[in-house]
Amino acid sequence: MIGRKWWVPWLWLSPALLLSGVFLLYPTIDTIRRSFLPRGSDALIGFDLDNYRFIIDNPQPLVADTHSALLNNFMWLTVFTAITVALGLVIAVLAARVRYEAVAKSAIFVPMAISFVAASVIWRFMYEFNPDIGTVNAVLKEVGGAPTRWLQDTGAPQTPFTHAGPDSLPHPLQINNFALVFVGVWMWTGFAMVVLSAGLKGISTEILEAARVDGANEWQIFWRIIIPNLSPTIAVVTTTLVIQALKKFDLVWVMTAGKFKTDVVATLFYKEAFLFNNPEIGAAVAVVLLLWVVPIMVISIRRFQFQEETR
Amino acid sequence: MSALVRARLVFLSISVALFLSVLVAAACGDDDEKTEGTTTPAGGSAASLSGKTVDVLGIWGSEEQADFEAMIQQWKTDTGAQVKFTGSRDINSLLTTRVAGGDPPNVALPASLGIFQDLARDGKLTPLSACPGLEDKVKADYAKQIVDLGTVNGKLYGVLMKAGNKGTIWYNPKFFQENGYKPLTANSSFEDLLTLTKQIADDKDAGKHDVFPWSDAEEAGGGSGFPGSDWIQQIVLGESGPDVYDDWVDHKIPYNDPKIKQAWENFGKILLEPRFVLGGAQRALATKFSEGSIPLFTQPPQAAMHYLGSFNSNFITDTTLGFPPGLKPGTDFDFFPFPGGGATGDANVMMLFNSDPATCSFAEWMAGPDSQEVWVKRGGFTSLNKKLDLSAYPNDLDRRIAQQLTDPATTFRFDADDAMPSGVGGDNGAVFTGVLNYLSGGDLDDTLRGIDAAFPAGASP
Repeated sequence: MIGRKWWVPWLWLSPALLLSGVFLLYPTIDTIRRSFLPRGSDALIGFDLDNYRFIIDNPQPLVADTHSALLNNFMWLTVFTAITVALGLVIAVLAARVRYEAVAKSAIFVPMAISFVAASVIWRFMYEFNPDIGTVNAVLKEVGGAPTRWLQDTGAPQTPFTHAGPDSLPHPLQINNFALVFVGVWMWTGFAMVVLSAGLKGISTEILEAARVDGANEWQIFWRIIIPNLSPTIAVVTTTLVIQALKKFDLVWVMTAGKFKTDVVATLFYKEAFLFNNPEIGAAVAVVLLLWVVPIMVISIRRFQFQEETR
Repeated sequence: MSALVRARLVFLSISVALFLSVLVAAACGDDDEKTEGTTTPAGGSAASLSGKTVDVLGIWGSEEQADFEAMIQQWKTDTGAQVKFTGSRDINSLLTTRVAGGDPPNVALPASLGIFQDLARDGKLTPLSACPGLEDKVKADYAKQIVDLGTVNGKLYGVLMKAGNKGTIWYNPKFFQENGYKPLTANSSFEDLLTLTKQIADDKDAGKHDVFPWSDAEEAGGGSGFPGSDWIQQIVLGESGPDVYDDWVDHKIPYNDPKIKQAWENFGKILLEPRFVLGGAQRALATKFSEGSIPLFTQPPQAAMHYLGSFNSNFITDTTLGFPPGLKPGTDFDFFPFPGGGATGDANVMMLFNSDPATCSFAEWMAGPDSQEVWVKRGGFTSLNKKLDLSAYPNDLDRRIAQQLTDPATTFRFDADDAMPSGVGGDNGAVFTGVLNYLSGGDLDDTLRGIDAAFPAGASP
């Protein structure tokens, strides 16, 4: 019997192991190795910390603003994730109560079906400064507001009618960063909604009816019944979105190329490694991103294991 | 062994085999490339080139590739040789990869001086003197400053061919005539440009017309800010002269040198003054570079002048960008030289990787006036060859663009940001970002210090 031999599971595993070894493990180790090399070095191994010092000291704020990229990514992580999960949840709950649920959900899910680069190009047109081209500014102009430079304005978000605000703000609070995050939310709300909606359908109607019989109002049902029952699904959605936020690249690259202080970690490391010919600094930036992702992965794996055990 | 296990085994072996074949194919990729390139054996005279093939790497595609084919048709007929042309916008990485892989083309024509100088310094190029008579011919046909740009460490390696002129300020001649404004000449200074700007702005304030002196547009994706960078290099060349320009490009003076700072301030005198620029710097930052001239030609016009390189004439006649149809060069739109008597620009630099008779013969044909005239007549080619008959240009405007470059009185210099190291010049580099920062209201000293800090450590003077 072939099934009893010790090497059989390894045989089945080998294609996956080989693939993840060649395409994941090797590049990861090589990136870490490279991040400790001095610039332009051919050495096999080194213990140089200059590349990490570069990230901390931020000596070239014009081309590679490491601080702003880290702060922006933190903003993506928190604001993008929070808004998307909240919106997805609200829409999933509300849509379940109307007759045209399928239509409403499809409409919100459609952006997910568009390639991210295509969606970013579309939104570049939407945000165009010239109101004859940019839909957002055309609407603003129609209602009497001033056109806003959505992708270039480094000021704080402000009402469209009082177009003067403080110029020097912490970078993540810039109007253009929020404009980018909005596009991310537009793309990902559909995903959050569909997954949460499926989770919602899984909550047994008996619990809901029991609550209603006990005299709970809809608000209490939402907070006391739906949310706790949905929390594993919310956790899954949040984890997915957090990872999305951390590796955000396409949207920023297509829409602003990181100009006007909209860089995130992924665009910064691409620029350093592939455009500015500093692969060692690029590697260090990538390692920082990796360090950021690892705890989130650990938490989600722990949670998954916990759920498996309690099942 | 059960049927299921056997089926799984078959599936497994197929997937492993597939995976391995992908790996092998990837590993063999280089070898495939190598057999593609044709190496021409040495020996033989120009008459016996039939059957030989010259491997040429350029940037041209579609229409421009047809122009190029027309340009070399005569040579192919005369010699019987063939040309294998690869055109790619991504020529720089393609060229670097092929040279690093030991498989360079015979001739390459990138639009970048930086990669040319790097390859020449690394000894990858064949000097033109290796081809009999070629060096003398180039020196006779081209102005000394053009020859100098193709010279590295005292040896001539390259010929600057199809050029772009960045010393051009576009204006609406009808509006200028109606209001009595005179376009500037090659002898004007930046001060004259400021005077003209102030005059138009004052007349606007006095109610004579409702036209701003300038329109400006900086948005170009990763290249955003390049028009501003062009402004500044023109001002440096015109106000401080070619020696300061060369030192600046080579980073022999710091980027925040007072002379360079002065050029940025002059740039700011126009761009940061809301009275001078339609919609102010805010509009400029958010407007696409290809659409910057539109306000000059609306009815009535909203702006009088727009600075952009000679390629702007292609945009102005492109109605899909929003320009009104039927604009005629010379009467409806025109340019005057950027004040200061200098012109910056770029060009395709022709370089050789061997001195086989076919390669030499091809290079000689390309560098000469007869071949270039073919493309010049078809439009879209500005030649630097001074032997080329200027009457070949399809219209007066194109002729004057070329004349400005071949005029011995014009100081021609290659695009500054192209020659600066990556991270400083070029897309997403510090100079372009610095322009955006300055126009967004950023502090000038901080900006210049920031650009200087982006030079690789050790290059600082």
